[in-house]
Amino acid sequence: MMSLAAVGVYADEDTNSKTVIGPRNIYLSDGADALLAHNALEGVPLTLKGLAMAHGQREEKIAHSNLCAGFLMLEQPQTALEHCNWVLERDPYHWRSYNNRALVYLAMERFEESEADIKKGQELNPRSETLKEVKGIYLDTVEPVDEKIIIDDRRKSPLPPLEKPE
Amino acid sequence: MKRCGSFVGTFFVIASAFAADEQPVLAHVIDSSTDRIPAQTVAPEYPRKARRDRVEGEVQVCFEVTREGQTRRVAVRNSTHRTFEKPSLKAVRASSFRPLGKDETLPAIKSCRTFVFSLEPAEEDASVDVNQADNSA
Repeated sequence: MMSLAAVGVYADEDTNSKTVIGPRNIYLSDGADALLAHNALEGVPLTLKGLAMAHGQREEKIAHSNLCAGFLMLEQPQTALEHCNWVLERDPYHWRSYNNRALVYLAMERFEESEADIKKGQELNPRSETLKEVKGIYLDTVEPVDEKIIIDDRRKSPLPPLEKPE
Repeated sequence: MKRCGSFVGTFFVIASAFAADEQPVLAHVIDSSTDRIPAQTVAPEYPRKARRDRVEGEVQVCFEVTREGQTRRVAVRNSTHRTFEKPSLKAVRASSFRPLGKDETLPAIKSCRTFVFSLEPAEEDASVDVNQADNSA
């Protein structure tokens, strides 16, 4: 199962986006809430309803972006990929969709494309912790590492030893 | 009786005990010249974000050891990355040394311990072989 924490849902990260879309398209809002709670079984049908009654491309983009995340949670990467692609064809600067598509590619074992999407996402949003998480997941998949800690007492104290008591 | 001999040639490998849901960390303990014999050596946790970002580093922590073997005045002396400092301090504070006997004197009470945090390509079977490590000493 893909790490849910790394899946980006288009709800509250943009300023007031949730309060803007909520009153207009309640299904999109409730779907985003469900997806943020990692409840894709509820979130995906709600978001599909929201997509059906979307007003304008902005709402459509939100719906497709969240459906990409939702279908990824449902372990349906091919469907997720179609939704991510829909967003990126219309908005090539949508870092969250690069983030999600990187995870989709990872689930499909298309590692080079996953890495390329992480790079694109980080170019657009270099400080994103979500993208750093995804990069960590990517690296753990393609270049797994073991942690090793050496405890070395050989280096002497920088201070001279205390005088020995008489 | 005066004890100032060193604890020489000890090289062993421990698997540090962490919570069950955390990744096990292999810790190599090298202790060849301390003046006090470690009783309990606690390995620090590898910081999650450092592992995620593939960051490696080193921290030297200096401290005093009381007659009873407890560490005190624990402080970072050198470090390559601040993220490793907190777990290193915590590990030293949780570590202890064998208490001195009544007749033993302290050759020095200040000690330093260096923690090297590294990441190595994962192996298929990372089980710990204590015997192999003992033989190499």
